[in-house]
Amino acid sequence: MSHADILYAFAMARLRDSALAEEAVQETLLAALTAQQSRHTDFRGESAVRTWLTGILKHKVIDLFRRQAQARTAGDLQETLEQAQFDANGHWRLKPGEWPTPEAAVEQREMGRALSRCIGALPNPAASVFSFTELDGIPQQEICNKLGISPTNYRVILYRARLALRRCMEQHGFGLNGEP
Amino acid sequence: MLNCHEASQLASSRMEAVLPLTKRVSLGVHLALCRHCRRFARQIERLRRVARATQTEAGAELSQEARERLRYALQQQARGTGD
Repeated sequence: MSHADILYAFAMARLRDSALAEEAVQETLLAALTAQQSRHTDFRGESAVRTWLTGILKHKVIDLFRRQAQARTAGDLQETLEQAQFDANGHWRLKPGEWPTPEAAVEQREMGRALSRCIGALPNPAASVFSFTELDGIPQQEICNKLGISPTNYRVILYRARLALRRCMEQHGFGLNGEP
Repeated sequence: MLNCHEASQLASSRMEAVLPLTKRVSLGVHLALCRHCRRFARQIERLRRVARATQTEAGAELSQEARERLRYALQQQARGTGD
């Protein structure tokens, strides 16, 4: 079941809900099975299979997210988040600190874990909008269409997510010389 | 002249879309003068690189029950009984 576990971890990074992630894995594997039955697919090696499966999953994940978003009262990142970081004149209250360089592989992994935790602390839809944009690089237009949000709203959600995440990363110890 | 709040918004927006020329110029001027906003712009680009490199949730694993449910669903489908 190792494919299923990878798919599940992949879905969890985007949906952050175990029941939804399980559904995404199931729909992906069922779709894969159907595709296999209807035409002969020949893969060279495990990694090709995995790439194919995660490709299917990416679409399932965003569809599932849209379906459940309709039934949910959206918690969103509020304007107070911006007010906490900027004063009335628009100057930084919480000045960004210097982050460590260079970006060594080990450090990158550590940052990855911290970023996952920080994304997990965001309310939805901010967490998923950020994930679809930054983990998957799905174009703005497609995300707006699928999730039914306006381009303006999308920009605001993403901006606030970035403000919150940048701050959260510093709270996890990634800011050097910054203010506490 | 942009303030930091506005500059940081533009620094975020330019990651998804090309800004109109006047905004690009204003942002460029602000960034040239403000190291806090330069850091912000660099750091949100870095969040993107870290995100791209981190595709899965560390430690996320299917529960035993979820595994059973999956196996059952796949068997049903394989037998052609649908869902």
